[in-house]
Amino acid sequence: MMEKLKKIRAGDVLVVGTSLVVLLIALVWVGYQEPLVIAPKDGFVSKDPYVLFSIEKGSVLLIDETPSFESPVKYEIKNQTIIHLKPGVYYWKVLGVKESKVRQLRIDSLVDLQLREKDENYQVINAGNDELKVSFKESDTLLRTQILGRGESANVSGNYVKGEVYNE
Amino acid sequence: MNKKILYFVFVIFVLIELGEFSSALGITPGASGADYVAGGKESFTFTIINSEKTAQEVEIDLQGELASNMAVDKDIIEFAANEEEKKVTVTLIMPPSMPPGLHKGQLVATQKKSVKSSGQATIGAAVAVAADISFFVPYPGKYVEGKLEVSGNEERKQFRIPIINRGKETINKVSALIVVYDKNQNEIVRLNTNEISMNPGDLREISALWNVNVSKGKYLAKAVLNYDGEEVLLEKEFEVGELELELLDLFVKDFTLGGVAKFNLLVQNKWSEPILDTYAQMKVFDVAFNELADVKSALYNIPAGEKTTMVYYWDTKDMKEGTYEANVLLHYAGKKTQQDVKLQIGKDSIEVIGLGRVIGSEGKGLGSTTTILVIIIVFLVLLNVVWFLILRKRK
Repeated sequence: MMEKLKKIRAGDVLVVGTSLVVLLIALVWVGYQEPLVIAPKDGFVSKDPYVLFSIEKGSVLLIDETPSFESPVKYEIKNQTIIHLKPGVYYWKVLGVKESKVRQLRIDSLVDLQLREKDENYQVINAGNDELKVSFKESDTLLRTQILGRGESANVSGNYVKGEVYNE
Repeated sequence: MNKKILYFVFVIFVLIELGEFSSALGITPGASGADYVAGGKESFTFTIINSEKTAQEVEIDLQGELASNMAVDKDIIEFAANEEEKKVTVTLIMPPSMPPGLHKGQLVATQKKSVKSSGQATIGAAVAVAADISFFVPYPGKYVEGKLEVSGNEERKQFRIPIINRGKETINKVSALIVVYDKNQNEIVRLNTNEISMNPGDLREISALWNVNVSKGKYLAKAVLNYDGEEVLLEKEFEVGELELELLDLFVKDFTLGGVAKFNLLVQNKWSEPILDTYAQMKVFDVAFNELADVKSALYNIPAGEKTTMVYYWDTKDMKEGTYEANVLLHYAGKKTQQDVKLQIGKDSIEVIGLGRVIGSEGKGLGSTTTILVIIIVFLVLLNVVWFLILRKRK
């Protein structure tokens, strides 16, 4: 009888012990599986719209304009992925076995106008990273305005060309 | 006679000079903002960019509603040749009282004159670039601003409403009722969004999904945004079965620098009918945004729902190894979509940078591995508990 009880107790210890060991190993393993974010650092600010994401132990990158990630864009990521982002503030996190903490980055808009001579006319080119509203004036008189996408050009009229970020 | 020769030489010289004419000016960031604090002081630093590194003078000016509340630390900036950027700081003194809403001023940088290496001042239009400086005075009580956005395909539409709390008070409950109407104003469906709470200044989003069960055409969504009993009406027209070509991938195989590169552009027709006479265009620029190439594909007819690889060729003769800016444009049915990328050109490869592989854009989601792992652990623990209890009972 005593022998049987001893066997049962040994079984109990084995079951509880195994459970604890499994849990412990799982917890330690999961603890080491948090995605390792190498770049960009939290609070990253740039005027270059191409952002390098360098990540280990992560498979999905979530980027959203709100920190609550209500409608994120999901990207498949390898160790290094470059993603083109329009100017703005973004929140991002990485999903792997575990989820990384939420980080923030900002792409500053760059208003850059280039004036070139082409075919006996002047052309203005949007060399920045955002959509621009370009105004053409002749001695303070507004002749016209035009919306130029990145890399787009327009013939110049008047003697004054002003570019600013276009807000719909 | 000598005068005529001299005049001719002068004209040729001027023409050569004009032929080389180019100028550039930039400013970053293009917009800056602050929270309104009555009587508060805020500083903003902007970078003026002389991207062509020419010697030039730039005039700094303040314009707009807030011009009289702002001061700038420089009126004139002088760039020497090879100087690329200079900083300007604007100090804004916020008035002690302002009506609620958005208040804006501008920092404007204007080329005064540019001087070439020969010492000749250039002529032509003056280039100016402007950056917005703004703050928002919160509305008393509760006030939100929202915008209705519709995305998705023919089978499922997502209605998203990004909302910003522009009031001084916390809003406990924000939600919306979205009603979809057809072109004859017949009600099609009513959808309720999720409900959230918002602190002053918060930017959040509410949304609703609709499993589309109507024919193609134009529809109108009206959202009644309700925040703690106050209501705002938002509207957005959208199409079911709209024409859409999605750019999925762009790659080059078997390339040698100096040869003709074959670009493969994988696109998907997300419409329910064929998209006819569509073509791709790629413009390549150098660092100074000089256009190096403008190439186009042939015309393609893409069947409904199908993926097609559009091909275009670029002769890389005279190109050097390096990274170049490029715009990839898809032209279809009077529409144009643009994707900016970088081309990293090597001796025997062209890598397209910046596309990223999008695997979804709707709803939240956790990594599947996490879910599987949690299930396995819970299962193992439960199994052991059950086993333990059975053994106990046997005892």
